[in-house]
Order: sequence, then structure tokens, then C-alpha cells
Amino acid sequence: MLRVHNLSVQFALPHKTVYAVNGIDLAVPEGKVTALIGESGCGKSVSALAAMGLLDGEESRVSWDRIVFDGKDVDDTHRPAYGKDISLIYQDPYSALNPRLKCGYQVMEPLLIHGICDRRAARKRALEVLGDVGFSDPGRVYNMYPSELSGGMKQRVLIASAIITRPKLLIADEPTTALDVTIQAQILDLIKRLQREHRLSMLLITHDMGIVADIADEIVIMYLGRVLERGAKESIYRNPGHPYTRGLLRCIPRKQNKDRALFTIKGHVEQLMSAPAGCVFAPRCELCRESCRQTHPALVSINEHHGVYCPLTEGGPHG
Amino acid sequence: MKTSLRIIGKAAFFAALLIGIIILANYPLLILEPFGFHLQDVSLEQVVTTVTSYIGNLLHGSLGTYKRRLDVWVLIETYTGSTLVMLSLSLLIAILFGGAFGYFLSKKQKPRTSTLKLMLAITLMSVPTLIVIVGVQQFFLMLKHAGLSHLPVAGFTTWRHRILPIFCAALLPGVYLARLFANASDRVYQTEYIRAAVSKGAGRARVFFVHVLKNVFAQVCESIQSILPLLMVNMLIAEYLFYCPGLLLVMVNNYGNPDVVVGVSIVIALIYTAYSLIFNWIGRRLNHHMGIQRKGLA
Repeated sequence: MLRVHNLSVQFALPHKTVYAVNGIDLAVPEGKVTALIGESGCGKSVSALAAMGLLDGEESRVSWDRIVFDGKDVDDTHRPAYGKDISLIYQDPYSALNPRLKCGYQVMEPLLIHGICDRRAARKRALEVLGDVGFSDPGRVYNMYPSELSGGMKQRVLIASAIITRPKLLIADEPTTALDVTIQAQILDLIKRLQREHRLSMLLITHDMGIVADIADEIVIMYLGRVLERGAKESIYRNPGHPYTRGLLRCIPRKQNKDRALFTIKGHVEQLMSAPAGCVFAPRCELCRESCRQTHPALVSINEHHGVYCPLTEGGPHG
Repeated sequence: MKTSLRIIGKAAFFAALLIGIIILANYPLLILEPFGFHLQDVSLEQVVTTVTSYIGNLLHGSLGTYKRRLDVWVLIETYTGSTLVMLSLSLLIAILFGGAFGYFLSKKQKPRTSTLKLMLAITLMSVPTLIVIVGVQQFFLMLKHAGLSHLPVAGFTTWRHRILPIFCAALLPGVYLARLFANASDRVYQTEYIRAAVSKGAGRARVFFVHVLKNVFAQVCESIQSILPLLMVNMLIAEYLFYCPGLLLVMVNNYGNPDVVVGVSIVIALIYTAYSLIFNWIGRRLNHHMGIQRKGLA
């Protein structure tokens, strides 16, 4: 559904230009869920917004070799209709809904924007979708303002607004991060159900490996604006190639390790301004060699659907 | 209980204000007493008698007299209509001009501000109304001599006489509102729900009219009352220079007559309160369902 080749995003700071995203490739197969994983500030959301063309500020410069959406090249003459072909679920439902517009209007707005139907039909469809996302009384929610809803309800409204046009691609930017734990599970179940029912292609941005295990088909691991590992979920969970991925997987709390201290990856994420020249994970990597500090490693294939940007991976040149 | 106390507090405040106006209108030099200047020889009994007599008259519906024993009500009835029309139209023009100019001044979705726009706003805000009016009068006189305009630059007999005073009185408050509008607009454009609207496919016009304008107006609305005093002062200058009298000019021209000053002050205070309440109410209505803290900008 979506293929992005060599996407870069630069931010011009007063004395320096930094790469928030540095030459990443992304792919979201049709009807599948690709999870973009990484720590806060590693460029996950920026990548998604840039690929959608929503990062057109004066201080950012977005470049790519090729973006293919739904089999067609994306360029200035052909762009997917945002809100119709591609929809986005925002991280924070508390700020992503306009406080002065009724929820119903915000749900049906994409239909009105893209002229898909008239206001009456849009209202009917909005009520259907509000029912779809789990509201027992859609008519009431339709006439409510965001401040009258809880965080979980707001996120349901945002999801309803995102799926009302039956988009070809849904980008979910950490859809459960701002919610409390009990609501997170409900929203995740809802997203999973809707993805299966509508066979949605989805790019899920998250830092939670637990969520990924539950919902994703493909995984892309990002760190400091670079992709470190990509592949099918099963292959990555079974045979993680990059030291960072192995560290992330060891960070997941497990029942059998309940008496042990939780594993943490040593060190801290470097600032984008002082990102290393070679492998971006090198300063924290216990296996790092001198060559890792010199140049960004090339892609090493573990199998047909699994690649790692690390020369120390088994099967790689130094492995 | 709390509401009753609040009402009693407000009533006491207005009563104190009224007494203050009565004392100042009758014994203006008393204001200097606390600073050690004893310029008016008045006893406390005299002041109390004057105040009680005024309040007694007020309760009987009388505002006193002016010149040849004419009732102050006659003055008020004559000029209140034109003052209300001028104030309402000036306010409307200030809001419309402020909105349009504020949109021009705002950064919209661009992160950098334009120094030129900021300088333009500050320059316009610093030009005294007196100079603006004189400049406008000269300009329209020039146009009149050239046969390009027949707009009168002084007088009060027709509605056309009011056009220039209204525009001149509205200019400075309009620029002030434009700054408020631009600041509020910049804040709204930075919110996540604007980015969400863009990601739905909303164009610039839709983002502005559906998502930005209502939020900006709700923020600016309650601040509009803060420009009312400025608007009134500008109206006074405009009334004077365009010779287009209203209540404000009447009050200044009769400052030696305490009855007129007190009567007109009360009416002007009532007009001011009414406008403030209207914008306060609109602001509250706009923020009613939002559960968000209202943020007055002034």
C-alpha cells in the first residue's frame, strides 16, 4: 500500500542543520500492520508526518527518492487525499479534537471536506461509525463537545473520524500513550478489530513492544532517525539481529523473570545535534567495534523478510 | 449565600463609584486633598448634603438641570441615540478591521514571524488619534477640492457626517484588536487540532473559518471590553474635531455643570456596562461547553 524510499527530514537550527530522519525506507503491505518502533524523539512521528506531507514548515526540509502509494508514485501532481486515502490517529486525544466543535461534526468532517456525501448522509454515516467504535448511544455522543468525554471516549471519536472515509492507509501515532492502562487495552482491541474487519493497511507508531507483539505483522526499529532493523514480526521476535532490538526485547517484563531487576539498555539516547557519524547506536552498544563508529552499516539480510543494519549480525560480513 | 454576598459587593462598589462621581463633579479639587493640597474649602457636612441630595433626586428620576433650568434628561435624550450609533458602528468596524488585519499580521502555519508586520502594527498603534483625524480631514478636503469626494469633514446634520468620525475612532482600537487577534490566532494555529484538521484534508480557508476563527473569537471576545475605554476616548476626540457632538463631548463641554457631568457619566457608565456585559456573555456562551478555562487577553 505504501512504500517510502530514502526519506530524510532535516531541521534547520540557528547554527546547524540536523537530520531528524536520515534516509529511511518504509513499507506498509496492503491489509497488514507495520509497526514503527523506537524511543521518544527518534523520528517515528516525524517520519509518518513527512511521508504524509504534513511537515511543510519553513524550518524543516523533507526529501525522498520515491514514495509509492496504492501502486502510484507520489509527486506534486499526484498526491493521496489526506483524510480520505490516508487517515491519521493522533497520540493525544485531549488536544487533537477541536474543543469548540461538536464531536459529531468532527467525525463527519472528512466526508464533507472530500465531498463524499451531503450533510444529512454524513450525519447518518457518523452515527454508524460512532456505533462501530463502541458507543452505545451514538446520537448523544454526536451532540457532545470533547470536554464532556473521557480520554478513552475522545480517542474513540478520533478513531471514528479517521475511519469514516474507509481510508486505504491508517497511520496510528502512539494511539494509546496518553490513555491510562485500563483504557489502553480497550482502544488497542478496538483498533485490532477495525483493522481486521476493514482489512486496513496500518502504520502503527509506538514505543511499546508489548503492543507490537499483539497487533503488528511487520516491524521497523528506529533509533536517532535511522532504521536499525526491519522484518516480519515473528522473525524479529524469534531472531533479533540488532543489539538494540535484543535490548528492547529484554526490556519487556516477563512472568518468569519476576524476581530479577528489569533490564535496561545502558547509556542514554544521544541528542540529534550530536548524532554519531557511524552507527547511531554505537555509543551504547556493548559489541561496538571501531568500524561501527566510522560509517553507517549496510543492510545485512537475515532472511528474505528480515534485514539488520549491523555488521555484527550472524550471517553478516563480520558475523 | 456566596451569590448574595457577591451581589451585595457589586452593589456596594457601584454605589461607591456613584458617590465618587458626584463628589468629583461637584468638588473636583478634593481629589488633591490626600496629596496635601487644600484647594477647596468644603466641609464634610456640605459634601454629605450634596451626595444625599443627588441620590435623592436620582431615586425620584431627576438628573438635575443645566442652563436656563433645562432638565439634563433633555440633553441625554438628544445625544444618547447618536452616541449609541457611533459607538456601535465604531466597535463593529474595529472588530472587523481588527479581525482582517489580525489575520494579515498572524503567522498562520508559518513558524517565523514577520518583523515588517510587527513594525507596521506597532507604528499604527503609536500614531495618536489626533494626528490621524487631522490627516484624514486634510486628505478628504484635498479630495473634495479635486472633486473626487463629497464626504463632509465636519458637521452632524446627515448620516454622511458620521462616516469619517466613526472610521477614525475605530482605527486605533482596531489595530489593538488586530494584535490580540494575531496572538490568539498564532496560538490556535499551533494546536494539535489544527494539524488534525489539515490531516483530514481541510484547506486553508476551511481551517481558518471552521477551526481557527471560532476559537480566536472566543479568546478575543472577552478582551473586547478592554478596548471600550480607548474607543470612547477616540470618539470624544472625533466628536470634537469633526464637530459631531455626542454624550462624551456634551459632558466635556459642560464640565462646569455638576448636574450634567453626573447625569451623563451615569448614562455613559450604563452604556459601557451594557457593552461589557454583552461581550462577556458572548464569550461565556462561546466557552460554555468547552470546559476550558477562559483566557482573557487583556
